[in-house]
Amino acid sequence: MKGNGSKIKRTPSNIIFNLIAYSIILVLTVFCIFPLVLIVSGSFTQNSVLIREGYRIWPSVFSVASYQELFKYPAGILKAYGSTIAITVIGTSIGLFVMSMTGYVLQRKDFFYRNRISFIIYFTTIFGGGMVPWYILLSKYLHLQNSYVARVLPLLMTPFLIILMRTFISSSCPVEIVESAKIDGAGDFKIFNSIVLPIIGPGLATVGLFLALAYWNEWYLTSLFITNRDMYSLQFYLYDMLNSARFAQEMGMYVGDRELPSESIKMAMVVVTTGPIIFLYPFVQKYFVAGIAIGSVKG
Amino acid sequence: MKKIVCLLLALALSIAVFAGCGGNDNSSSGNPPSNTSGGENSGTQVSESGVDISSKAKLVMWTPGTAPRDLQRISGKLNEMTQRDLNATLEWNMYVDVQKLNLLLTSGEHIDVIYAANYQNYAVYAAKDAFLPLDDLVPKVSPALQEYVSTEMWDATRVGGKVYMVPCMWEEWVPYGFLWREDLRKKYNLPEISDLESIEAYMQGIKDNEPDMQVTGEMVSTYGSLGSHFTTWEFLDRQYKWADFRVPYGLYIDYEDPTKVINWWETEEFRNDMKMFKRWADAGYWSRSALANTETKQNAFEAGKIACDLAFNAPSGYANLVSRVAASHPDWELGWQPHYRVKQLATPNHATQNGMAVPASAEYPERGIMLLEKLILDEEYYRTSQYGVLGEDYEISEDGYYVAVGEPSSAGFPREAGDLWSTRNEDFMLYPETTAKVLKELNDEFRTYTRPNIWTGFAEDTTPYQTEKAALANVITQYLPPIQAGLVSDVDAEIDNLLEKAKVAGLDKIREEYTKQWLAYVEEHGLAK
Repeated sequence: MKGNGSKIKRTPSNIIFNLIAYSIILVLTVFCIFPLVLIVSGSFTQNSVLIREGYRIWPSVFSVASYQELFKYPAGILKAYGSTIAITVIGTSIGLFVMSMTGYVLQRKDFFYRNRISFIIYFTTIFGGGMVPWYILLSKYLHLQNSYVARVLPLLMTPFLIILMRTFISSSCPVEIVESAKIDGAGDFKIFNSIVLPIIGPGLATVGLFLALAYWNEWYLTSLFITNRDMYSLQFYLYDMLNSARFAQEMGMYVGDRELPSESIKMAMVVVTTGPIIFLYPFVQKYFVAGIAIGSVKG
Repeated sequence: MKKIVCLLLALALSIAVFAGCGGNDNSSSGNPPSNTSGGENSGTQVSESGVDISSKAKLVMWTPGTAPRDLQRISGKLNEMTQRDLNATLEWNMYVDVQKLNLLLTSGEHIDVIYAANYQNYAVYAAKDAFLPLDDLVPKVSPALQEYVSTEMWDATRVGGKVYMVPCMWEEWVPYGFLWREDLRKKYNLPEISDLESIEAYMQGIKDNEPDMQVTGEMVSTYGSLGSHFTTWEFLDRQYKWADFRVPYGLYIDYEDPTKVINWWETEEFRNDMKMFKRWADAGYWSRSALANTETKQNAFEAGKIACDLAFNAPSGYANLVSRVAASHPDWELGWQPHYRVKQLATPNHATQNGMAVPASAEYPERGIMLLEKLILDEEYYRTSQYGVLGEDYEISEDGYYVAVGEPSSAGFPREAGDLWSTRNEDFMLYPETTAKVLKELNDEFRTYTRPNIWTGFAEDTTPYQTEKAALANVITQYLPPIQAGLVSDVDAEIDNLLEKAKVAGLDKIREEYTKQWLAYVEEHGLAK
């Protein structure tokens, strides 16, 4: 990749192309960043001003009241943070481990049932037992209510990611290398550990990012299986807070004197929940790009 | 190889530890109690009504809404009481969305008592036997409860002839009404709000004198499967004695004669009302982009952005607004004219609006009913479940008002935070002072002209016209709000267009079937005059 720029001649058409490309990307970037800026500035604006004057790029009346309000009782939000970080890390590590192993085995030509098993995995992406049986399985037979396992287990073997992994391994890890390692006397685990894993780094990063995001954004499983407030995931904590009282109010019922979260608190909450995961992108991005590129050329 | 084995072993162990943490956190989660032999209680315990409670039970109760921060603490307090009185532990959970409710009821999970309501498909679940019939259970287990709920209320909850819920006996009215700023009215010398002319004069006065303010903040709102409507629609409730303004498909059911079902969209009145809205829209009482407005009217009103709300919901909402505005804008004066007052007809919420049911999957239905009796008719249970712990969460003032301990925003269990709407009992109810004044006054007024709610107990069966209904909802969402908002150039032409499109979608078939079902309901409940 290095020095590519200097080798290409700067012809006029090239410059024009670059101009157009950069300006399009610039516009798209602004489209992406603009809402984010509005949210951040909204979270630092006084609520009444926010309603009267609307969102602005720069808060007209600066205030950190919404953050103070949010962290007045930090225990709930910190617990949600803690459990979400832990589950993201643990879930992603276990998930990567089992999915890369599955992907590796499924692409081995000497594994006789690979196509059948691949089909079974693929099949579940189209046909499933449905919501209620799935819920009954997890709650009545596996007893996963109010257990962190309920937040980890269902995402561990994602069919799409397994298929992605299988394709990636088969395209980036030639059979010859595996065979030569075998001739040299390496066992299956040795081959996987010392040869396959180092090669599929970009693949791991890609799948890992998908998985980490899935765990980080997970709220649905929490809504179904967790009733203990201390075990809420961060996103569900947010969902729960934004929903409070609205539900009853829509029904036009007398709901007592509870305060609804104000607009600026909602924004502050969004900032607080998106914050950390955004920092994951820069670290993973270089692998991510490489991963997609390798897959595209050879696959 | 060894390394890998070690790694796997470590992984397996960590999973086991991990699973352990989760499980132990809440050892009582969902598992049926290991044994119910009641070895510790050698003597047979019997409740007042003669129900055997010698075996230890575990009760599970679910209510809707967001769990307050201290739900576990209050649930723990109640748990102490149920252990003392009912020989049962209590687990109190809350669900946030309706889908969860569906799963809870269809998966056969252990639940003894659950919130049930018409807007949460009470009739549908009851018809599918998701709840236990209570006709024999309640008289046997709790004569007091049987006595407390009036015969009319029991009858109104019947589905297929059987009672499936213990309805709430606390009468509640939730009318819409015109909300305005009395201080601005006085400032600009506008006529007192009473009839339509005075409301128009007020709006014009604001338009002329307050250039920075919007007159109203009306917006498009979705009414479930009915499609979207512009909120001016709710304002019309003041003019008509219809069974309910939510009667769908452009039908009008006359309150005085429920057998009279009119195609309202085809009447001259409807056209005139829509022309009135067009006049208001042309006068600029709401913005040209009102159809895209997403800001709640209440927020906008409190921020001083709008000067009135054509259809502000619920007297309690008004009571809350009054107390909040008193703190944030002491110089404001508010006025609210409930639509009920204009037409001198109030209809309380239907019996099935709030209730408690015992699911078919209950393990201890008898003790579930006993718990309900306690929650409704025992002051200690009532106050704990609704208000928390005296001294920690709330105090009672000398005049008998509810006073929250600490700031409202920091409360771990605010007033009625457990959403036990269905056990409300006026005898033990505590109001905050401002709410009490406004709410009680209004409720007392409504009581003078209240009449039974005839519409919301009706459970429509949409299966015969499922497809048509979906098609019609699309048509309504697309063509009706602009008409209701007056943001069209020719009202008559647009209404003709709407009717034509609705007919293609199957309006006639829907109306025919709906009317048939409605008349059968009228017949069954003896509503015909």
